[in-house]
Amino acid sequence: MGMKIARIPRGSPRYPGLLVEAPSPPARLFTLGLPLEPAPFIAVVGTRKCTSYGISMAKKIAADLTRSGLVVVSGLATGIDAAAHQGALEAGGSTVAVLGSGIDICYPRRNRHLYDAIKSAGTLVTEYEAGEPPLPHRFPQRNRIIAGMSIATVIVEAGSGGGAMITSRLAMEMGREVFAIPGPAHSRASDGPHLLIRDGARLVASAAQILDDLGILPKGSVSQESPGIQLTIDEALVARSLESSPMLLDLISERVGMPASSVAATLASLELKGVAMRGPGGRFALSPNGC
Amino acid sequence: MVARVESVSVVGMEARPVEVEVALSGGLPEFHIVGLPSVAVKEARQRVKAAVTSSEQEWPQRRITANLAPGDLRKEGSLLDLPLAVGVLAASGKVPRTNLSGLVIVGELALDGRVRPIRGALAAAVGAKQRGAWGIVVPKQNQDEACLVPGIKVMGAAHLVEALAYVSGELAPERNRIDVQALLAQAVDDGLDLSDVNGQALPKRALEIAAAGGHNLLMVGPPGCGKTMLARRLPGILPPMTAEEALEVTHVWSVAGLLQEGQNLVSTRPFRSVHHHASAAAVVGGGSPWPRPGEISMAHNGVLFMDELPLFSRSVLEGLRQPVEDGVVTIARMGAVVRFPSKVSLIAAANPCLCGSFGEAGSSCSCPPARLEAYRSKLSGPFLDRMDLFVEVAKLSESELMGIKTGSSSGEVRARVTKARQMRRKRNESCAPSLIEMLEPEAEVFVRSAIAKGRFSARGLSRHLNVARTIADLAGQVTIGVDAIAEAMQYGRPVWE
Repeated sequence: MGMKIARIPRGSPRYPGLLVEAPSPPARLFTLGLPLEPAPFIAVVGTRKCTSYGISMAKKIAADLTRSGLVVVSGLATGIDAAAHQGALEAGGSTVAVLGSGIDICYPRRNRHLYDAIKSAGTLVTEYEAGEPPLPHRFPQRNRIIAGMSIATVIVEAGSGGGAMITSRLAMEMGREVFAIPGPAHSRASDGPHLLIRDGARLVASAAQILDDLGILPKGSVSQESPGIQLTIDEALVARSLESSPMLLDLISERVGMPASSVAATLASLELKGVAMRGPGGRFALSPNGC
Repeated sequence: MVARVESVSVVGMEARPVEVEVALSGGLPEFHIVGLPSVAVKEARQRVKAAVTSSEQEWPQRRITANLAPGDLRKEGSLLDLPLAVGVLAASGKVPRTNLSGLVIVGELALDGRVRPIRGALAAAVGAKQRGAWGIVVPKQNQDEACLVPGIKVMGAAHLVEALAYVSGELAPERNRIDVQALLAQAVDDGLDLSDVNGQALPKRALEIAAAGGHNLLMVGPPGCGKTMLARRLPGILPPMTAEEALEVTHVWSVAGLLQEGQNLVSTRPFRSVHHHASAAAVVGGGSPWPRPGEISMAHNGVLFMDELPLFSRSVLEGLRQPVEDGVVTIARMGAVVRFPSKVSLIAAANPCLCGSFGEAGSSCSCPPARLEAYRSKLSGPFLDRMDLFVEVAKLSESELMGIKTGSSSGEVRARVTKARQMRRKRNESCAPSLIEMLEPEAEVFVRSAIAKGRFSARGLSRHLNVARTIADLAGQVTIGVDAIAEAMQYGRPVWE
């Protein structure tokens, strides 16, 4: 197709400035899609084994960061990475995906739609020649680019080991800011961020707090909450009984005194309105986007 | 000196007429069977001879040729033992040949002359009736099922001697009619009630919808959360079988050899649970020379439960697609196309991941992400397009278990299901508008916004509408309201999407 792979040698004005300052910056980068923006980059990364909570947080924060003028960088992996890219694209902004393979290879393949979307609305970046396969050792290597080109790294959900933790450790070593999104205390998917918080990472709950800590003034309004969600009486009743931690439908039904079938229907429309979300095990919680 | 005995050979669900011709001729005393006998039929020579001699009958010391007509149909099974023995004795003049016309004989022989039960006695009786036979001799143990067929005299023989007595007219057939309605009324409840299960309001509701609309259901949840327990309670909330349905099931079970001795009718809806190691032939049906019904047909008019759905082999899942959709299994063999009924409620269960603990509070899933993804992609394959309802079953914590209500009993749910089914039947009989036209205006707005948000695909829409129609039936509504369509959405997609 008309798309051309651009080669950016170190020293080129288009080479990300912050990456030069990082240890062992790649000699050249290949990009595909839009040219790299000069805007400040921010990494939003996390595990592939995420929960619905992690997905919605990653989307929400990536979207808000994008709206305030930052460009979200991530690794195109499934789970949190994909959600971050998606959030950025849905907010109408650009996003950067750093690959661990040649630029013409979409890995994982099931993220093809995302790969294509980023190719047309964002930028794909790699240090590998076209056609290089995605070898396991290349992903930690690629993480140094994600951390290196970003002013800060936001870690949404991660196990206590794994790629996202490598990225945040690299960012710390480079003296960049690391932000961690907390999760439920017992959630294994949030072990990584919790560990980082214990080690001194900043705990953040929203994009506004990140911008505040970085000293960046938001471009537009950060939170574009869908203005005036209209709820029916039943919906309001059910929404009020929901909590941020997921709970069983049986319990909700008992609290509001409605039969399970009506609660199921009401929850479905609340989900559509972005107020409720379905957690694991058929449990329901308030969506972090809503209210 | 040719004797003719009428018998049958079971091909799939039906009994094809077979004529056993026996001729005695000069030459060395030998016994030959011609006319495409399978191995089991060839072996009949030894059994027949031993049974005849041990019944103190004289075995003709001449050359015996038995022909099974029609010559181009492969004869299978041991049910031709008894007609062969009768044929040999008739040919040698020990049994009056005149009584043999219009009498169908089936049965396997033991070496001491006892008559052993066979598969497909009910099918044989149906076949005999269809070709105008006045009576049928069956093994004693199969007498009860054969009696289900009206208009034909059934004679149960426990021994070759008894069978010969029926043929010669020394024994008169007993009157043994069976009242199917009375048997159905006496059907014993399996004793499983929905209220045995604590909580799980959402999966129970999904079961109710599946029962009312005949939808297929996939339950996802960690091991031990009660998926099997829930599935086992589905037959109990289905309306009782009609006489016609019970006869259909009994017919399949008879052909499959599933009927217990003395069981004349399958009076409760079957529940068949398939293990994931089962082969495609065992689940869908197959075998040679003539295919036998698989588990899906044995579950006809009942419930087929597939635990650990993603662990089933691809060939089984692919093979099930058509039968689940059409309600009939079609197996083509050279010489005949065999059909088995397969109208089932398919209930499938799956763990959320390979180790089973994904998504549970406070437990750790040890699956590597790549394997987790592979597992899920198998779950979302084309077979899943056939699943109408998805529901997640939670493993309740101790605090959740306490102080949770048990909900409706099976009897209450069954009453609602029966009413909803009646409503559906009435609608199908009349000229009903399409499902889209039944949507109320607000429901239509809801559908539009769900499509806009990517929650309904064009392909999924008709399935959602179908489920919503059932939900409206359960509520006794003629149109599909926003409540029904919203609830349908709740069960509308794999839980991890």
